[in-house]
Amino acid sequence: MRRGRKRGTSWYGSPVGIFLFVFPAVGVYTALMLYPSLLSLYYSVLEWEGGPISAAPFVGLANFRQMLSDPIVPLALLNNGRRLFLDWAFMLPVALTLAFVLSRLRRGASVYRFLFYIPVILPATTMALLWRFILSGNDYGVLNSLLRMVGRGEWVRPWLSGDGYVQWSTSFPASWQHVGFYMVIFLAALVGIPEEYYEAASIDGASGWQQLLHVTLPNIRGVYVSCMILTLQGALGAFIYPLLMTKGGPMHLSETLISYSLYLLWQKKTWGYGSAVATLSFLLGIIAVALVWRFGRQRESALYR
Amino acid sequence: MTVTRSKAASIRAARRDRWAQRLVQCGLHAGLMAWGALAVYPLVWVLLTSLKYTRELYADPFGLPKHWKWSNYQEAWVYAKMGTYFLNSVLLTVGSLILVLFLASTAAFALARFEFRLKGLVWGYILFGFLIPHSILLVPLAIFTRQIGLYNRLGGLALVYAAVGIPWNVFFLRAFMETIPKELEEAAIMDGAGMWSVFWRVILPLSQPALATMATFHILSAWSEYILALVLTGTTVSRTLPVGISLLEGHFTSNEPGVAAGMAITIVPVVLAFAFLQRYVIKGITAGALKG
Repeated sequence: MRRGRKRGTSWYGSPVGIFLFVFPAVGVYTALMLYPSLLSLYYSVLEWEGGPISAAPFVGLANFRQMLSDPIVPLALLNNGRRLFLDWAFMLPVALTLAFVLSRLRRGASVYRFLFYIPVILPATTMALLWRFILSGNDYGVLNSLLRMVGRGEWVRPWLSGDGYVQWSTSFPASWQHVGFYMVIFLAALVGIPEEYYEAASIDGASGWQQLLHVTLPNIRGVYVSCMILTLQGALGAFIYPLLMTKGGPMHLSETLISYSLYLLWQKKTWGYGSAVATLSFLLGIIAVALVWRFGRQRESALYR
Repeated sequence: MTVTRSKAASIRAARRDRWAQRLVQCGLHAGLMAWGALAVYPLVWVLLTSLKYTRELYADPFGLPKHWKWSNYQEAWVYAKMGTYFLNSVLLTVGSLILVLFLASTAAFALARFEFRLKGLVWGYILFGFLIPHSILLVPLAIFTRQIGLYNRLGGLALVYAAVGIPWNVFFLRAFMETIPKELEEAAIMDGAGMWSVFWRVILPLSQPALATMATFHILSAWSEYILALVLTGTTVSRTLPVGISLLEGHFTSNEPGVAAGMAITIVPVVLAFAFLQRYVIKGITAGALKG
């Protein structure tokens, strides 16, 4: 067990020693994450439809130009946008509300926190099957049969096959699933606000609402911005619900950028173009994160200057 | 006289306040319970459905099963091969957990406790991984793992899971290791400990809380991971539960209770794991939130 040498100090902190500690992680990360991601960038400038890669001609940005005239790409982008809209307009506000209520609770907060977090840990593949069962347009679709049961047969809809419905049906479950995650983040931030701030505010005669507006919200702005970045990345990378609920269909209506790239890669075997679509999502992610981060930090530094 | 009256009044007012507060708390609890029920109901529904007969499910999708059909589980476990997938998922989760903790903690140790040239570069290089979505790795990895003989092997998939976990794990473990006081390490060096024994006997034991947190997150995500497992495995020998469940319908075209049993086999272990490990999840997210 004892591998430290007698004069261990001579090794200690030497470049060789440090190299031995850092190398395994950097090596594995390079080989299986960084190198493949660069390969993907390379594939996206090839015209490669299966076959040996050495035979695939270099076509420059032709794949990216092709996206401009591909009618499915804007459809897919719009679905990523729908998911982002649901995250920002529904998920984050609900998560914040729940967290705020839990932070005001005298007892039982940890039980609720446990319950609310359960959807987050459930494998998305099982949740997708479940949602498909709920929203199915067949006779046994849970939502539709529930609507009939309560005498609202006229509200029955083709949730998974109708244009205008399927796009939301494949976006909403992901937003719903992650409420608990963001709630825990907000709860930690809310509990972290010093009690003295509230005491000072109430001495100054601030009402409950005023405290919420002028003490609570400003103090969690940084965390809120971080959560917006996380949801941006989540929305751009979304694919699992469309893939498993509708396979992106019908007629690519519920496709997201990534699910469309999966279709191009594994169904159509257009590996060059498919990689380009995945690369687009990767680049948009980097740009969006940089923008929100910059914008958020600027606001914050202006606030506390 | 006036004193006692005002005292009585203030007591009454205080009591009224207390009641109002209690009422508010009751209302809050009612709302929270409703949301809690919504969050847990899918789980309950899967468990109930997994014990029903198919026609009973169609006749009454929400009620309790009248005759508990345990054989759904047998069908899922044996015929749909969920038993094999279950074992694969356990091996993969544990194997990749050991790998990622070893790789990340050694690198985090070097980054947290030493100054060296190119340190900033190595750090930035690792953190860049935060921006790489798994979906752009699929085609290159599918080809690359075939070339180096890791395709359709649990060991290969475990290595990939470890690789994609490295940025986040190194980030978190380094932050924790930096808080460990220097004196402990110096005492060990005085006793003639080398770099490895300082790491293995001093820093690693002291990092236990952070390791537990990272282990919990890794277990929860590795158990659920779908797309890498789908693309990098091809046959039953190395398929995992999330992949198996997505293939279930092929086996059971009109047997939703059988599918539900498969879902229960996938879901129940991860819910149990979460019940035992939830404080580490909360701790991890809290640490992340406070860093902003």
